[in-house]
Amino acid sequence: MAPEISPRRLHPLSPLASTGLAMIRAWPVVLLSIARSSWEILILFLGALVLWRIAVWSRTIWSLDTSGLIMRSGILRRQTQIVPPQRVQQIEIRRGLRHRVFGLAVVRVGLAGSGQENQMELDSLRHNEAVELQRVLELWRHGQATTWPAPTGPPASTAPAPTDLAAAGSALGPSGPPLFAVRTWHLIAAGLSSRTLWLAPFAAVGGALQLSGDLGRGEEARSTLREWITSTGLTVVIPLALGVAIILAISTQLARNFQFRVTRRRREFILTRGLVEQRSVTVPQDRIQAIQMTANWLRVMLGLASVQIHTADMGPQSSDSVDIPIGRRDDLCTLTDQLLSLPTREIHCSRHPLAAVRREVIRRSLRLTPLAVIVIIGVRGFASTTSTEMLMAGAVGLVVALITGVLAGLQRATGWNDSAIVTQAGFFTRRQWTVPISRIQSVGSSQNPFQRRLGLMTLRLDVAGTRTGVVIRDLGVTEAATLISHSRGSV
Amino acid sequence: MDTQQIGPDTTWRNLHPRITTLWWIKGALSDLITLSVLTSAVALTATNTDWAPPQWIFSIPAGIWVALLLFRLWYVTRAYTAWTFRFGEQHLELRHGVWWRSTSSVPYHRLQQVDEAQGPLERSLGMARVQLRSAAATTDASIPGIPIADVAEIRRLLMLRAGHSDGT
Repeated sequence: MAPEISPRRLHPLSPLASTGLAMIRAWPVVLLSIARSSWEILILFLGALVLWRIAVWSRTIWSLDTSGLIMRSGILRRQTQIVPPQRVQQIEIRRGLRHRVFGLAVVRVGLAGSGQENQMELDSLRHNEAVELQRVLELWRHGQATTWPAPTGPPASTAPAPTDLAAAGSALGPSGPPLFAVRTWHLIAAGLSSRTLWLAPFAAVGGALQLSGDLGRGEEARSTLREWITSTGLTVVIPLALGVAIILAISTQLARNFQFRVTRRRREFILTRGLVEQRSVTVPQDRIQAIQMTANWLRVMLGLASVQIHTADMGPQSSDSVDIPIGRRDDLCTLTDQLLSLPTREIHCSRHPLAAVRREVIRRSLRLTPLAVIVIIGVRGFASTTSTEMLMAGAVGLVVALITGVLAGLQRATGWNDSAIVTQAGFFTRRQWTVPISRIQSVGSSQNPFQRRLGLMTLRLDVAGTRTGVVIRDLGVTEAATLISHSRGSV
Repeated sequence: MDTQQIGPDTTWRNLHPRITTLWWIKGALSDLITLSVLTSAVALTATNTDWAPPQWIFSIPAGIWVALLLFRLWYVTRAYTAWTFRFGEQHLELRHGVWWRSTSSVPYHRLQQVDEAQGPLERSLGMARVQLRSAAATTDASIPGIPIADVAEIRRLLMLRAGHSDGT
């Protein structure tokens, strides 16, 4: 029996909750008004925002009938979105601080596709109502009879709201113990090993270079800079900048992914996380298209990695919702098997032919050698760079290309069994794709003249939910042909 | 192309020979535009600086263009020979590329939609492209140079093999 929900508005407090967010987004206007003590402008701006949000709220109606979840919205341009439950890729409930203050929650329904129009967002409903809607959509998706509100228990409007999303999750039906949980020290490690953090020293060096430019090019200016770096710079400014960056990186990870866990209910996985903004995403197992595991060199040394689950939903917020921020590599491999319900751990990946290493070195040389020359010209200036310096820079670029090319080339490996393909690449940032063969939409291959000479081939596995497909570069021709026929026979 | 034979026949087939004319004209026009931009840049530099290039230097682009036209005559023939496709039992298969050789294999049951497109040059030559789309954005399955009379038949065939009716 398809449940029916009569047309209704979002929660009356939702304009208030969304006004706060709009004000944060318009921070330059707010700050400027406060700085100039232009209170009348601030009040006018606030009033306009509230009126606009009330107008949006009054024109947004949602309902559920036999055709699916329906939302009509828009002030000037009216639009109607209909989501059949069978097409749902993932359902997310999100609760930021502004929602928790008012007892609200946002429901985001992700569909297959990449645009803003391929998702429906109900911002905001009463928390109980959001949880109930999630339950109804999930049961309907499975073809099970359900009604609105739930036939047992108190009506949604009077039931006490669960305190957090984990408690709300248990109201949807029995879910087992967590399949995977992120430990707090792993989150700290994630913060410390994040790429943005390691940009901080570069930012400090860039700042020093900028300062040297401001001071001029004379000997006096250089000595002033040297003095500054050895006194204030080294002892105060750079450590302080690094300290702030470390605190920011760790607190961001903790705020975003605190108490992250994956639980399973029937054939769906629920990813719950968040300290300030709580999120819960339900991903049906049959919607998972591919799994990508990534680890930078620091995380490789610590035995850690992160995982991106790819569904066909490529909407603006989908990749944020279905990533596993950090975990022990072994645990993540086990979780990958559970997510795909396939024995992918037993797949042995064979290294690509040695010619692939040669290609990687050549490819990097062509990129890094001119780059090194351009950098030295940029730093020294075209007129003052001698040809010897250019040659030296080119040689350095070549050596770097040789070392990194060999390391990266030796990391390329691919393996498969009857049900899945696993491919690895990268040395400093290691990436591993696991693609169920049943999810491959089409297969492409390409060979340039150099690859033909070396007996190599590049394969492209076209999978929904990935922006570039899964590219397996420089695979041996025989292995590539076997893999193509294997995947073609299975899809 | 005899569309009546498309269904049971799974042999590799070439595009319509008229596609070479289209590729050649497109290539010639793009070369002409690139060379015109480069020549204009040189002329502009000469006007704004003391540099006074000899007049004969401006005949070089014309020479390069003629050379490129001749090169493209050879290239489009090779590209035409390399471009083959077949409607297999389970998959549509495509092969193309002279230096960078590519193959694609799209199972019919993965087909989401069939697009047909025609630019002004294609319209004047009576041709269209047929593009298959799957759920993956990266699926590369476009067949160029289909005679306009065969497009409907190819669409019908693809939809039939995909297990849908196109409503015709």
